[in-house]
Amino acid sequence: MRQEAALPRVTGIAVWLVHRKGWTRLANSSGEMGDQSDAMKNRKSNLQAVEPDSDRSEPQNSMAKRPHKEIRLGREAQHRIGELLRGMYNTYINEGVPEHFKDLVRRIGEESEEA
Amino acid sequence: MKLDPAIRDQVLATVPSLRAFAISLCGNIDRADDLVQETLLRALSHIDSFQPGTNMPAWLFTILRNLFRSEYRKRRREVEDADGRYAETLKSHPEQTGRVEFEEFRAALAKLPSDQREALILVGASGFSYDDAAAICGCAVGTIKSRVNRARTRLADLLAIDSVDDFGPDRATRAVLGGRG
Repeated sequence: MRQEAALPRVTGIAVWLVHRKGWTRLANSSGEMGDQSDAMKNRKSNLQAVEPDSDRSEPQNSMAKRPHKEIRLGREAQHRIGELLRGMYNTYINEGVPEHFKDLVRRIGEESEEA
Repeated sequence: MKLDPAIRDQVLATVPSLRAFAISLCGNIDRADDLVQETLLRALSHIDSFQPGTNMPAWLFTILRNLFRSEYRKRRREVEDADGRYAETLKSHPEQTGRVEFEEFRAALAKLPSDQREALILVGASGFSYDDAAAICGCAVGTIKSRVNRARTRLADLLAIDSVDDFGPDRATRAVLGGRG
């Protein structure tokens, strides 16, 4: 009776070890894991989706296949935003250079010549 | 170190765009002028670290950007123009865009995260390449591209720009036409 009661616990530890060590072949071939083994396999596949295996070599065109997360604006909208941005910026540019900046640069230039 | 007149002229020639960049970042002319002045003082006192023949505007923009990040960013909330009187403080009035558009755009730009705002201004207005902008901001080129794209998308969202037809005079024209088309 004691041995039978301890069996699920031992099996659970074995499953954990198999998963931990990555012995997937052993787990698949043992045939004794039942539903727990399937659950662990599913868990592994879910993890792979979130955490891609860095050792696995990716195909060269993987960038093209990877879904693009960022939304791209249409050309017209980009053009319009560019117009507004440059319009605002040019307004600032048209402010020119305040005299005190010219004086500042000139003064520093003169001081450097004296020194 | 003696200041080479050619370098001095380069510095002076960069001031208008440097100031425009500062105003775009700060949203306040007085504070922008303080920032530009501090940038010039720092640049000219370390002019020996500038290598002649390299990109002077990029060097000055980097100094200004770093100063802004270290000091002025803390006071970002203070510079918000709640009254919308900002344009009145400008000597030159908005030309290419109307006054309302100018204010709407400026307000929308101010809502962007500062990293997206600076990336968009550097690439979209100041004329820097993605490479130069990445060097100025101290990040990867891909990061700058991503920030610019996100900034544009956010601005389009804030200004309700789906296409050219959805913004500006055409919108008003459609309203006058009473929804025709």
